[in-house]
Amino acid sequence: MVLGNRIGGMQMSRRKKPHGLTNKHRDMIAGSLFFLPWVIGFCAITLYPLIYSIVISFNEVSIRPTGTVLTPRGWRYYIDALMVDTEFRTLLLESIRRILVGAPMVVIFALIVAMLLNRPFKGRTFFRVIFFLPVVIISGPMMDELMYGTSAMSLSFDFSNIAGVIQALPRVLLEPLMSFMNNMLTILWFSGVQTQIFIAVMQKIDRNMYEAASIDGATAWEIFWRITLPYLRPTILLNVIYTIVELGTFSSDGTNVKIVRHMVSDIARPFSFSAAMSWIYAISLLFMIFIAFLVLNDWKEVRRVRYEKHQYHRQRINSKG
Amino acid sequence: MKNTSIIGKELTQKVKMRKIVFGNTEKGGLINEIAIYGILFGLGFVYIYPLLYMLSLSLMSTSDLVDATVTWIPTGFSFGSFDKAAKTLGVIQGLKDSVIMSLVPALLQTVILAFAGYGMARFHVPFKKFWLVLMIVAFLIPTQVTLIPRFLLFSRYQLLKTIWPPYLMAALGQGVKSSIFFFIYYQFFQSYPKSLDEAAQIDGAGRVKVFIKIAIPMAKPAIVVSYLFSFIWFWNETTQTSQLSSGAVQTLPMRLSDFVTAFSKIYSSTEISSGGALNESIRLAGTLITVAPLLLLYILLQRYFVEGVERTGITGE
Repeated sequence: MVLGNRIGGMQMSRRKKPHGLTNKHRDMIAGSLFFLPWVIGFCAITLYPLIYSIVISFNEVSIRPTGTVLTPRGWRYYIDALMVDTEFRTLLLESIRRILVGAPMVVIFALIVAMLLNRPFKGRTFFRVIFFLPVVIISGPMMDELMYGTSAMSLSFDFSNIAGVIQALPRVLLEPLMSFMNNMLTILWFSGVQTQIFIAVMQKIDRNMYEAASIDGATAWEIFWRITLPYLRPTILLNVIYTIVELGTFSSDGTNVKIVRHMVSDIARPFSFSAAMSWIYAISLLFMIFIAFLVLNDWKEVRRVRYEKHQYHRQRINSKG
Repeated sequence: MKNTSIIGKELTQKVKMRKIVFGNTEKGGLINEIAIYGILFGLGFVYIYPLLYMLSLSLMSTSDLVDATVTWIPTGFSFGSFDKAAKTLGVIQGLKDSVIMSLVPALLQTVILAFAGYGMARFHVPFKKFWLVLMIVAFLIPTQVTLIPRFLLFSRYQLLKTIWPPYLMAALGQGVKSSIFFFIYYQFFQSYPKSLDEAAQIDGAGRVKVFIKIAIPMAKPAIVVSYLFSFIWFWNETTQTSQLSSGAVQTLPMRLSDFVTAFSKIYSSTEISSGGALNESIRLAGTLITVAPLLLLYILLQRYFVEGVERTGITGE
């Protein structure tokens, strides 16, 4: 009965086919239409602004009743940002330093927490909830307030014990160390999503692999370095990139605050100076992502795939010849 | 004979004890367990310490705040700080604005990217690789670069200081971290059996109908995760909202960033001089108020948040 219906339906649909389009073409059209809104959005609200942002970073923008007038100014705003405005340079270096130190820390912390949570034990859900909590509440102003409100805290909390131990250290060394720790406590709050991603991937690792390794006499330490870590390599790359983007676009990041501050209110050079600064920062971020990609991408795997493709083609040519 | 059996018993007991305490190769022992719990509690405590500190401090009265002997537990719960903070924030209006700026944009984003992800995963779209790369590019472009031209773009169409810019961006898939949601859907729709769709198509259903009647109900986990994350990320987004839409709305996080100015406007200098000055307690109470709705949401729906990442299989690439 059901089968009969289906066959009937198939014939029906074949009969209904309009304009003589094949199913494949109709699939293509349907898929494109499903995807079209995003393409329109990307072109209008992302790609166009991206190009326009480059344009205004090289031009003076003056908004007149008749429209926006652009006057070419060359590299002036970039020179202003890098050479003249010392505040920007300081903030930029601070942001970059924060990301360079923070991103590895966040990812390593996420990895450790994920390893701890990736086994069945009582209270697992509770800890997962705790370590994911910051993701839900984190926002620029919230972090600002927290940093302000808790600035007294970090000195009175257990760091003072640590400070007591390392009192022997000269003050010059101690103070950056303390501020570093104070920052780190909150930077670790950016690790929630990464932890969950690590756990999700770890669950997919074949248990048999571990078993085989331990039967062969591998210690837990060796298993971690030889099996878990190589398996997680692509995930580590993903998480590092995610962390860099997350930290670099966070709204209370000093450089971002400055970019926004100069956007409209810098009357002498509205928009342009901010655009130049934003591009300098963006290029630094993309460069860091690029470096992370170079270091963490599995080039052996890339070479292997390329080699296999090459072999496959040669075989085909040989068999033809 | 008797003697040896007792010794044997003792021995086995000892071995058993040792097994429980130290464990063997397959199962960690008690020491292992205690160590892991210890580490987890330690890390967990440090992790949420700022939150606990915030709660403790916001409940303190002014005298507690000054008193050096009171470090953790306030002498009496005082909600005075919350009172003042709520008034400074204008909680009711702030809550309304926050809901307006996150409930609907999150929905728009969830829907439009479900379409995009489904179209890409199920059909042969021309230049597929190119679009996927663009999707990653869209994620990698720092938002501060596009903020300035977007500001000019929306001002040209007289849309500044209205709620529309975030709505429009969400509706066209350019909202907060849109690309992530695209990949959630893309992965999800790629991994589920296509035979279901094909069966329905053979039965004569059109492609849109198949999407609505079959794909959407199947994709519930992906939809729930996308919506929840969109919601919290729209809620917490301040840079774009405050540049493009402030004036029309003032969400809770935006109000929090203006807290100090707002406080000095509401409370006159005479009040401040008589011991009513802005202090950490009030500021942290304000912070706590702004995150309270999110905390509540999280407590109610934590299962979806925490398990969601896993269940949608976001981890593919």
